Amino acid sequence: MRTFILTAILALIIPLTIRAQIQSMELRGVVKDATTNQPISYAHVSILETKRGCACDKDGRFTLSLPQGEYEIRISAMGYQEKRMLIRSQDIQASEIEVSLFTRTIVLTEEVVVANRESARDLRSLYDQKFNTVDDLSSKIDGVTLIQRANFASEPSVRGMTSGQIATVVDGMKIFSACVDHMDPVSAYVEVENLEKLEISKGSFDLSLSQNIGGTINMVTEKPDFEKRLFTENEAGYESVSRLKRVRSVVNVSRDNIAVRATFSYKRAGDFYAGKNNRVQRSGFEKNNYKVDLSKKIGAAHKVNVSFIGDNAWDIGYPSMLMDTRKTKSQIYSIEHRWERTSSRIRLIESKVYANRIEHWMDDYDRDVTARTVMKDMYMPMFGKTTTVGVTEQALIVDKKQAFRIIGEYYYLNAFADMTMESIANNVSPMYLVNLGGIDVNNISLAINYDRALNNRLYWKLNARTDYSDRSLHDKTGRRLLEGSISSAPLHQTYITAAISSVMEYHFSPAYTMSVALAQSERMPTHLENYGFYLYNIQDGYFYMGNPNLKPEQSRQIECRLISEHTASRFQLNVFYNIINHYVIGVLTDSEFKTYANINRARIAGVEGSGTLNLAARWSVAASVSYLYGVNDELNEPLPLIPPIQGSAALVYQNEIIWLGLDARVAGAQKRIAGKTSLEDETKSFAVLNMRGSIKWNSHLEWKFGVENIFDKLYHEHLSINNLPGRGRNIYTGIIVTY
Amino acid sequence: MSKKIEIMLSAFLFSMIAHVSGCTDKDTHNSKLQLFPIASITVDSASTIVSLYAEDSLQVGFNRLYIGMKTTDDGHEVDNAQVELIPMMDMTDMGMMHSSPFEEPSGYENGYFQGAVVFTMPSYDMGHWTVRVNFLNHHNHMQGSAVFNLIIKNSSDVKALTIGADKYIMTLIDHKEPHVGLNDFEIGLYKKQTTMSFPPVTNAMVNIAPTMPSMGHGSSNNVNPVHTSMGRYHGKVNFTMTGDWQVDVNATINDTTLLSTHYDLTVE
Ligand SMILES: [Cu+2]
Ligand SMILES: [Cu+2]
Repeated sequence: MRTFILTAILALIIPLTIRAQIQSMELRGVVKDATTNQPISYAHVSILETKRGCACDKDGRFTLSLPQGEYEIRISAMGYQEKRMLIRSQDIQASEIEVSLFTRTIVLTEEVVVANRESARDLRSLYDQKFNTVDDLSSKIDGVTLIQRANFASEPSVRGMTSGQIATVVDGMKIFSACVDHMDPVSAYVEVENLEKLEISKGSFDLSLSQNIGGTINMVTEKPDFEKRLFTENEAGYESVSRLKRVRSVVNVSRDNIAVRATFSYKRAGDFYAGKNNRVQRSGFEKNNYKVDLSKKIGAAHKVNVSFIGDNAWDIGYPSMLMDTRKTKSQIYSIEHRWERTSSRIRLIESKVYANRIEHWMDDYDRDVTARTVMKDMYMPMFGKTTTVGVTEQALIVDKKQAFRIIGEYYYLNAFADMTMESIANNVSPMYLVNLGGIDVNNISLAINYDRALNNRLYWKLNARTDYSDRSLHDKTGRRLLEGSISSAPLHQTYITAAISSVMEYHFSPAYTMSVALAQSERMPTHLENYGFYLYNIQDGYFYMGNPNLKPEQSRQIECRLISEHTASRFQLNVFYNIINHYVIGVLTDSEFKTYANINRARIAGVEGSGTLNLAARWSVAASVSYLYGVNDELNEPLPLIPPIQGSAALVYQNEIIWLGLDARVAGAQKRIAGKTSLEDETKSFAVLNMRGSIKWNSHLEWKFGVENIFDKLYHEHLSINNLPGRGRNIYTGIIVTY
Repeated sequence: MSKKIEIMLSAFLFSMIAHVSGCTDKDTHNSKLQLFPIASITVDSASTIVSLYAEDSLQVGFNRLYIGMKTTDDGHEVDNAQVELIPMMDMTDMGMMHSSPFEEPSGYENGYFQGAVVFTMPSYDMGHWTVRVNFLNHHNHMQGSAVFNLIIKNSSDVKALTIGADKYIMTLIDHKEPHVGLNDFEIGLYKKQTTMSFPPVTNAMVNIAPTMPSMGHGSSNNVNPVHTSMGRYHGKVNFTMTGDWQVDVNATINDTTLLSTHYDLTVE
């Protein structure tokens, strides 16, 4: 069987690789300093697809000979912010293209903030596939591991940090999950076609979007394109492992100063099969998602964007949990005004007003409640709801060698959740409780980023942030319940946190960069940690009570990065160490309940290495490996949900028509488990091999396909709750029609 | 619900009346007290009308009794008197009589002499409860007694009572509408010395543990009752959800169990 599949793959790859090439074109251009308009000498231009490149001359000019097609080119120069551009042969006129580069310190676009963030786009240059899910996107980033509870949106863990320690935002907007059992990470409410990119900052070095100690995942949504008068993209796809069917559509229309982009998708999956034909009962789902954006340019500098994302899902099976999701519903609204002028000292002023609401219903009506030990003979439908309203204001001020960004935000969160318990016995009264008693959070924050080029080789970035938060409970029953169960009475709580980070980046040469980042940060407890009541934690089997008197977690962290970047290769090594004081865990209050409490100290350290290498003209390889070590110093045991040493390797072939990749995901055994604080057990090592590809038949039609878990391995990830097995062999395919 | 409205309405009316009727009632009646009249008896020999009130209809368990007295000649409230209560059950079918635990009226307050009786079983066709009220008016030195015939309803679910092997009696006190969250939890504990004598037990250790039998869990943050006065023990019980709860109560002295029982309560 194995040899057959391998042979099949090779048989598919080989003939396509020798496909001859068409005519070539000449790309000529000049690279200039955006502020002074002077040419930049000896800038570097490289084509990401072919890993080829050239250097500009003294006058900033370059010439590249390329086959017809579409390319992403990267222009970089010492002391300047690198730039990426998409070049299509049909767009190239006889005249040369002009590329303006900003001084490194001047522009702080998110992808380039001194090595703190990795955009998924960098990886897309290698894995240039159309991702199927947001999970596909985030799992491609080193240090991000997904906590799996179902064959549905997984909760991301960034370097061993989860939920409250990291922030997941959409275009910077705060959104809070409605399910008290972590069934609905924020990423569940956004689909791939909504997104432009995922920006992840690991650790608390970047404090601009959230107050946290573990990182921020910003799902940047795609905005209407003023260049596309009428554009449509339609896709239909199928996945064999869960008999998933999907359709998605994108439409972009623009006229003069108005542009509209709309997306719609629908998908439906049955039970999925783990390796060796093991059907995982009740693991299907049904979901739709739609997004509409309206953008209007007013004059040269103003732009207004109105956005709406709606998402609905039904009957999502959670095989690892006690309950399934009956229904979820989210609505995300925002209005953004952007004023931008590249020539002025005040470069950008952005204002945003947003509101979102998430509702989540779950129950266990489809389960055999007589057969379980927890909540035996009892149905327990639960409901959860969050409403968030916020305003952000940000300004960017730039100077020749420095840049200053200030971001102010206010948001209000209201969260409510309740639960009914219906005994299957007739003589038992129904039971009711409030898990989140109408929690009100008012949060005000101020963040600043300051960038300065100390000289041509040395750059410095300073981040600072402070947050003020006021919290209380409104629901009468919720108040009574919580007051009854905690010994310390006042439920009202206010927090003030402060965080600061400093990053130095040194360029030994255009190819070698080293950076050292230091941060001292705090994160406030989540509203669940403060006020949750009777929250069942499947990871340790205890019911949890909130603690309004929790102290913020405090973190001190350091990270060193080494990057070497040549035209044909890129290597990066990250080493980090994080000490967390007042670490929040559940502490037994009596034999049955845990209360959130601060413990003395936890530490997390890790290494991430990754590299890409261009082997031959159209072949490249990529590999990454990461290791994480977490320890709870108070109990002297490992932290829970820490992934084992893991890595991935990929071999990719691409030309203008075909893209083919063979990739493997390998995870070592995890023997360091948190035996005292969780029910997790040791996990065996595994390797999963995948093959993916896409063929562009013509400019309108693309076929994508792949086989995941080719050898149909039966395995589970260490971060799979209750050892939910990974998906078995999955053959997926999709047709994309673009006009 | 309707009961709540009823109480609120009557409280409203009562306060209206108290307001309108002016001085005379103002000094002697507490408008907050909602009393349920049981009976009035005129004791001719002492020229006194004795009226008995309770907070609700009388039930098995702890009942506060309020005694109001007026002289028949001038209609003055009797406010300085010695008042005694003697509960008695006559079980004619068994040919026996017995008393029950009670709290002697402590003094005059808000127009009444307030005492309490722990009725230990319900009335039945051959079993009759009475409460005798003996009084000595310190103003006019008149004395007399009135015997009230009482109907005691059963209340095994609301106010339960258990007699242990060593003849201890425990009753719940005031638990009418338990709600979610922390509730006062008060019990009375008495020893049955003879059928006529039930002295309070004042030195017991009382432990409580609420559980939900249907779910097999308890709750945290409960406070074990401690003795306050006259055999009463006051603590706190935490109900973490609505539904059927069972509160296990265990009373010991020097590790010897006097009584171990449970009360079933429905939290709404
Ligand atoms: Cu849920
Ligand atoms: Cu009797």
